[in-house]
Amino acid sequence: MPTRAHKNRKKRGHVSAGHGRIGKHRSHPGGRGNAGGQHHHRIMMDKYHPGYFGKVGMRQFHVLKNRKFCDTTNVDKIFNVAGEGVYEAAKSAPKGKAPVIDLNAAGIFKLLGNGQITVPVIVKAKYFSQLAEKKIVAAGGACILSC
Amino acid sequence: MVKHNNVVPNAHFHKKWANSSRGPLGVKVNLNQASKKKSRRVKRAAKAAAIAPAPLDKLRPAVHCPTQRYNTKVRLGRGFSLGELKAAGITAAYAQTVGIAVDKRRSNKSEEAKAVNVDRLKAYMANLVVFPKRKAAGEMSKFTQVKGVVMPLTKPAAVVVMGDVEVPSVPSFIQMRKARVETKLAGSYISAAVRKAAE
Repeated sequence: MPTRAHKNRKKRGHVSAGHGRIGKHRSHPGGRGNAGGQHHHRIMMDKYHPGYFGKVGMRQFHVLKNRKFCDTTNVDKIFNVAGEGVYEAAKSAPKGKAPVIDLNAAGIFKLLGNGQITVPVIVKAKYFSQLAEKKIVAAGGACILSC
Repeated sequence: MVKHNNVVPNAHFHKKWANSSRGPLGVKVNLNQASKKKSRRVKRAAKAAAIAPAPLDKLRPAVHCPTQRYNTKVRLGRGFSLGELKAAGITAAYAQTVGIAVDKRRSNKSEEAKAVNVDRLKAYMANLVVFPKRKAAGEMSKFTQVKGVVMPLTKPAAVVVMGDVEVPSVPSFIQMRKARVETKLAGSYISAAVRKAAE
């Protein structure tokens, strides 16, 4: 744009060119970047970004997640994990027999007790919750610890 | 200065691209990607032709993945352990000449896992055909070369296994919790025993 078309042409000769006598047109009046988060911009930070400053919790050096890995599933999802045909087998199982569901092989280590089960199954896992075991046994199955 | 309810800027503009004391990550342009792809392909084909009809890849052992999270999974490892080779009646030096990968650092911790790999070696040796080193190229061309993974691991088909329902006399939950407490207290049991012995 040529200079003659600029709006500022009209403001030539007027002392502050529309930027004010008191505030003035300065480069960084509030500080550069994120300056003043705990000082002169504190209200803005506390209002819109609560939790931006500070830290929470304890530090743990060298976290080995695989050692604490314990994927879980619930009683109501157990046939989704077991694969095809297991539910039908459980339904038509003769007395004293039941299909074996090895949760460890599926990468799931603990069985929790949400949901209900009406057919017998033998579940193998590393951990069981008390409620899960109660429900499995009440349905005529068994919970076996294995790794 | 940040105003109102906007994202607090936290962009590290100066780090990523600098190839200086600020960061080692110089920007690389892969303008030779296409030509490299082709040259690798040609090289691979040349190698395959040179060693034909020997298989392209080496025979690898079946190994269990580390850590309690993955130790139920089996994959191909780097090489057979010296113990496995010995059990299969092959020397390490000979194994390397007939396309068997050897890993002198690996050791066997269980008999079952060792037996699997010994069987693998035996099956490979049973199917192995060794040609004399110098043989006419025309004669060799009638044999097909094994390409890809040598003896890949097969996943067993999913079958519904039926078992007898035997509810443990002590509930599994109780067993589990007892074992956990005993593991926690194992140290104190030992120290108590030591203390008692000292008295």
